[in-house]
Amino acid sequence: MATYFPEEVISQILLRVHARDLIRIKTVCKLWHSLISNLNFVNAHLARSHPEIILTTCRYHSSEGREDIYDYISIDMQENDLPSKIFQFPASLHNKVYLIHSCNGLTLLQDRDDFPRLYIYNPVTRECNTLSPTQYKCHQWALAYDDSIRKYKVFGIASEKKVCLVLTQGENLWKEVRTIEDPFPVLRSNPVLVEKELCWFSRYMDSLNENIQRLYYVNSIDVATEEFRNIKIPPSITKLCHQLSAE
Amino acid sequence: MKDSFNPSIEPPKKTVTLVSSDGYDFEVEEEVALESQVIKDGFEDKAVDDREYLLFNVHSDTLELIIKYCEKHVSSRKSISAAAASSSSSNGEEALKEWDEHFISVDTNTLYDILMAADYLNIKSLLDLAIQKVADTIHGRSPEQIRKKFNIENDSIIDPWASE
Repeated sequence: MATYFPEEVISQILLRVHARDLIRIKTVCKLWHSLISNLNFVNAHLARSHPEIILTTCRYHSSEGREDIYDYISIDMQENDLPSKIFQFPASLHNKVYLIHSCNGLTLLQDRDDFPRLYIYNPVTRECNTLSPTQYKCHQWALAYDDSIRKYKVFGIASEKKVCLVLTQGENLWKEVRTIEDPFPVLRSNPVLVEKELCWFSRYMDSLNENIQRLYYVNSIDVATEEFRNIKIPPSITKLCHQLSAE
Repeated sequence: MKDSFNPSIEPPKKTVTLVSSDGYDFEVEEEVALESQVIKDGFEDKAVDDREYLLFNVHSDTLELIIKYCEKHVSSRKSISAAAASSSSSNGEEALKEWDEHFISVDTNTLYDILMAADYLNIKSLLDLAIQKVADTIHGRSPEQIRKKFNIENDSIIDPWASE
């Protein structure tokens, strides 16, 4: 039996194999292992894979909220019959974490009790990393991929301190980026990735004037350059903001 | 002049000869042979009376299958575009997909030969079809089953999933 494919062909074959299978078959031989582990291969495989969304459902709601049980279900957006798959967290974290953000199949988890403790968890490989603790309390978190350096970054927004904290993959220290927004927003939306910018929306009460005025901003931070932007939304379109805030 | 009044009469088809690695001649229509990007690239350079291609890496058994595939795709493309031109409904693409699926459902050795020939001749749609078939074969199989199926030597030092 004459069977050995050229490396390029094996690569093409493995690109079409689902990530869940790839993890298992890494051990077929050394060549397959090195092909599957290669960063260019990982990126090419990611580019081909179907987008999935994660649905959070509450299975049990406790009076204090601490004992709530959530299920996280991933849904393949290109399958018509929506076969879903429930995320399995590592046994040590089961029912102890919330899923707070995700990017390219990686999830950002937050400890329910030990407040600023965060984890990056890959549900396919079941690898879990604990992140170093942050110096400030953050209200919003996001995980994003920086194309320019091919690394993941975690962003935390600490409004009281007027900073955004950034942790780059492979590093231990959180970097501080000064933000120019006012502290203590009344309301703030979850960060959403738009192109290469992480954006969120905030609403403030301005009580300096006799009449209490509401101020609306769209804030953003560039994932690569880590530059902060603050765009004031004109009062004429604040109706839209009410709708946004209602979500 | 007579031809122009009777479009149903087509000029005689041009053919080329493909020679397999074991020395068999296959005479095929030019447009069928041009499905191969390699033949297409070399086509312009060839003299009109010397349209013979020696395919050193393709056995006659495999070449027969490859030609069958190319003929089917050339004729299907024509009927699909004819149906589109007359805006009549056609399930040509669906039918071709089904035909492809049936065509590629072969044993591992034949699949390997088809894949290598499609790679050598650079027939993209067939290469994609064969590669997808191999990838589907991998789905749900253990490393040991894959090694056995594709005759791969186990040179891994550790197998952390072996115990599962």
